[in-house]
Amino acid sequence: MCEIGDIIVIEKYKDGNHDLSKHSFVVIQDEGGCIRGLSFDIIALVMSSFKDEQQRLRKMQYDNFPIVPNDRDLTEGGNEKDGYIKADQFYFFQKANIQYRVIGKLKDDILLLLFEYIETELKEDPKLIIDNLKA
Amino acid sequence: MATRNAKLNFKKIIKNGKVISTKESLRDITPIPWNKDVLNGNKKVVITEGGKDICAK
Repeated sequence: MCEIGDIIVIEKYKDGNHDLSKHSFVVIQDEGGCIRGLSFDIIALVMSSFKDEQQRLRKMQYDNFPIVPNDRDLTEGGNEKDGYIKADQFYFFQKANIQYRVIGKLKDDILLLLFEYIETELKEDPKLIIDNLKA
Repeated sequence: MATRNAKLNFKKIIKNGKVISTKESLRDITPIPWNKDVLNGNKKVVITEGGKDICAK
């Protein structure tokens, strides 16, 4: 069970014939729907860490939402690393077809900032990733 | 909680969305290395800061 704003780690999902695992996502929609004839019940954004400062500067030129988990009281157990949410790529999933666990959440004000960013500041139309959905 | 009830207007946002593959989308993504306590559910992560102002950091 997950809800909007939750951070989930997906244990395993499909990329063509390959299994991918352990990517973190932020849930931005937890209601079912249909896209291109395929049903889904989660839309999520992938999270990434920065490899180095050069990559950070490059990534922040694009539609990426920075995150800084720097409140030690609240992020105990976190990794103290900065990263970003790839805000212009929407991943559609069916919960029944993925193994995931909820590992945390975005604080409410950050979630609202993220939504505002998506609605008003994306430079390009979001890309849709639907190849994890089954007909 | 009101904030958790916040919704994006997806019909408006994705009306011209282009479909790409998972492989293409994950190019250059570095999975976040959460520690064991997080991954086994003993501790929860809460993201408390974000936003454009941090880009300049």
